Amino acid sequence: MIEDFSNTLVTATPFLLGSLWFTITISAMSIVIGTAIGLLLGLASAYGGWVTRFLVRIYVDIVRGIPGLVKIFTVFYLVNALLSEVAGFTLSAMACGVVALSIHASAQVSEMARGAIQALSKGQTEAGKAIGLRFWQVQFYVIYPQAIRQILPTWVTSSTEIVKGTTLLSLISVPEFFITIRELAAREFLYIQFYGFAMIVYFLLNFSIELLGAHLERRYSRY
Amino acid sequence: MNYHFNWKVIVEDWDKLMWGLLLGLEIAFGAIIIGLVIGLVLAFASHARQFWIRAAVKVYVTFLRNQPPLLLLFFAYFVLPRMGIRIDRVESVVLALGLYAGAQLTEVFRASLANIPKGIREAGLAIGLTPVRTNTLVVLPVMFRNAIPALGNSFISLFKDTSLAAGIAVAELTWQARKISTDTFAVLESWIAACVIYVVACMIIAQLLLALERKLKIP
Repeated sequence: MIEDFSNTLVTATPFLLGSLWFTITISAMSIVIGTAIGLLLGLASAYGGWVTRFLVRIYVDIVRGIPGLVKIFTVFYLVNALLSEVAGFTLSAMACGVVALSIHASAQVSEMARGAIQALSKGQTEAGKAIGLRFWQVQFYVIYPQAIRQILPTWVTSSTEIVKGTTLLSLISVPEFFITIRELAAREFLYIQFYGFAMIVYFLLNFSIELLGAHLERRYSRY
Repeated sequence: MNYHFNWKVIVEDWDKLMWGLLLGLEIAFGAIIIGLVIGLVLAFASHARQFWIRAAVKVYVTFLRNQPPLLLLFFAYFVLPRMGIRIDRVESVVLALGLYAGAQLTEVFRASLANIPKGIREAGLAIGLTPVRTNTLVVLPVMFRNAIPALGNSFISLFKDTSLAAGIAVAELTWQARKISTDTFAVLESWIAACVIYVVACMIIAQLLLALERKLKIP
């Protein structure tokens, strides 16, 4: 049993590494895009008028009410149907996955950013203005450094959520790590070994993100 | 647009979607009960005097919290039967999500346990209750009230995670929507319907939990 597993593991190493790289790329892209959109939405709902706030609220509530898997299927079918109508092309399954996971992350980040900015007392902005800083200077030198410290722990957790979420893409046949594991387990009939192996890999992936987050938190809490 | 919406399909299969929703809620209930038991036991165990008990809890929580729920689900469904444990589809979903929730609820309960003022425990001991009765009669009710908002959140996220059960062909809402979309080719209608049902269900659950929270609040 053990020998079968180690032999298969050795022959399958290129596939496993390739698909693991795929998982990491998809996660990184989704986290970066989702964070960028989320920060914009968060700023919009912290500073915008009531119409902006209302629209962001609706977006966030709808996105957070739909399970990740349903979001992936919906993007896969709905967005592709719309695109083929309007633009005459469709997105690959991988691109759909990145879109769905980015949407997911954007709603989370938007809530965090809004909460962190609103939690800072008004006195901070007023103090910035009092010493003669402009709006953007207040943002960059006073608000963001404090807000980032607030957001970091939650942001790290939602990044690991995205890594976990990439496994769902195996259900729309994106060649990421989990689908390779499933195929190998089923073909070689080594379920315990391969699923156990996958658990260790995902643990190491997410745990190192957590450690990185803890490191960043220590760095940012210095001043 | 050339796409012709055909909402009749959704109306005809409405009861299937609702049964799927109900199954999802049942799975979430089962999972949160397993999670509550694990979370409570481990939260108290994480304050144990023995070092190895605390270490074991830490390992369980850190390992499980970092697993993708879908992987846990496949592990429960494909691996446990090969280790001689007979388990059907729905049971394996409940078990996998329950173990996952257990890790998260341990953290929740530990935090709310740490937030309880020392005086409350000491007051219990001072009126002559044994340590066990102090914990069950005095500390536990206070801890539960502290934990209710977090418990509600994890119930909602568990309910959303029941959609993963579609991956092993459990006939809950996501699977039903997928079936309708492949059977009738009403792809857009079925996914829009699934999204709307999930959003509305989550809103209703959130409101109910808010009402519960208000009701149990100490005035």
